[in-house]
Amino acid sequence: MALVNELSFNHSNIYEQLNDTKLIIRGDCKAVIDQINSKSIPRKMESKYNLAVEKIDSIKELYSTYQSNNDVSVSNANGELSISLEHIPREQNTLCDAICKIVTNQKQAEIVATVLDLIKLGEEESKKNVGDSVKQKHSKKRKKHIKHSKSKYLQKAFDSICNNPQLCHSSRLALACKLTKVSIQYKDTAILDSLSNFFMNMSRRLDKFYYAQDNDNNNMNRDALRRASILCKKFSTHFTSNTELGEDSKACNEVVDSIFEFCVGSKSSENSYDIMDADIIDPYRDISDLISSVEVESYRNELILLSTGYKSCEHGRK
Amino acid sequence: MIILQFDGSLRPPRDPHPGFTYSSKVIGGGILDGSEKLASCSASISSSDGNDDEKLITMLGRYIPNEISMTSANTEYDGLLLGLDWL
Repeated sequence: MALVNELSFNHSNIYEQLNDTKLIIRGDCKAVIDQINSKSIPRKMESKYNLAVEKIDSIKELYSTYQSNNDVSVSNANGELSISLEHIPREQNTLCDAICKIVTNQKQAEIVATVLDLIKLGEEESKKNVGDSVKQKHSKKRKKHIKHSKSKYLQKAFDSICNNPQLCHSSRLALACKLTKVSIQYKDTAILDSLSNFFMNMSRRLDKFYYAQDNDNNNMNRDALRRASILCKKFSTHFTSNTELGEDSKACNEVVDSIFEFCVGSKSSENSYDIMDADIIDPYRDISDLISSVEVESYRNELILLSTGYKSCEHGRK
Repeated sequence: MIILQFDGSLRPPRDPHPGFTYSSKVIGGGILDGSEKLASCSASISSSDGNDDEKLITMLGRYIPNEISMTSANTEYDGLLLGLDWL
């Protein structure tokens, strides 16, 4: 599609734009086009079909009203808006396809951001709880150890990492790595035990994905996940029973860093374990090929508005 | 002439590592149901004078909260409705 520049479009003049009385609706889903064209019966889609037909009728009506109110001469005999629906191949619908991808990528990015916020809140809560537990230690006899997370936020973050189906596995693992570091720092044995199970489960699933895709280029060492699982367990035992860690502390950092690095495609450092900068959740990656890099930024701003506020954008390109 | 193009999408979460991608073949249909996919729809509206040149008027996109019974045809209809709503 040739996208043209110098667009100064005002939504109110949409019916002026329709001055040649023609609206073409194009989609790559033959079923929908055929249904609206009355070539097939909607069945399960009946409610949405009815809504679409209703909207098409109201557009026709609004158009007629505009024509009569503005005394516009029309080119066709009865002055009605001509609406035609055309099926197009997917290759001719690349812009809409890219917008869909951006919206879903942005949703994934939002979920990652939410989990990161939970981890941050969990860090603050754990920090506070450490202070409180020191006070308690001096004031009364300690209760028998029960394995609950020290922070409800960390527990929520872990639950999201495990159970949110909208997270891709790379984001899932990268977030688990971040959570592992925080749990070790604040000696959260409950989360570490859970993470141990999580890494072990992921190592099993990854085997399946690996062979299912028959992908020889996948250089992720699945043993790393098993080692991460074992090390999380060792840390948990160390914090509860004062077992020796020895070289395991260093080994844990290394293995967690290597998993993180693989997942996000960049190295982590003490202060920068930043998943938000990672390529895996760049919502605009899929549209970059479609438009030039100069224009990406302006598209970015507009599409943020689009997908968060569901508002339309009016756009001019140079 | 005004041209409204629409699309809908129902896809599993995008993962940069192919080995991590969901595979219904191995895991079975039970795990990969509609709720594990992200649904979205989009529409673009442009005007044309009948030649090849089309002037892009607006782009619309919307995330659709997913339900188990969601199908790709649902998302396509949502794309169409999104475009018609704007008009």
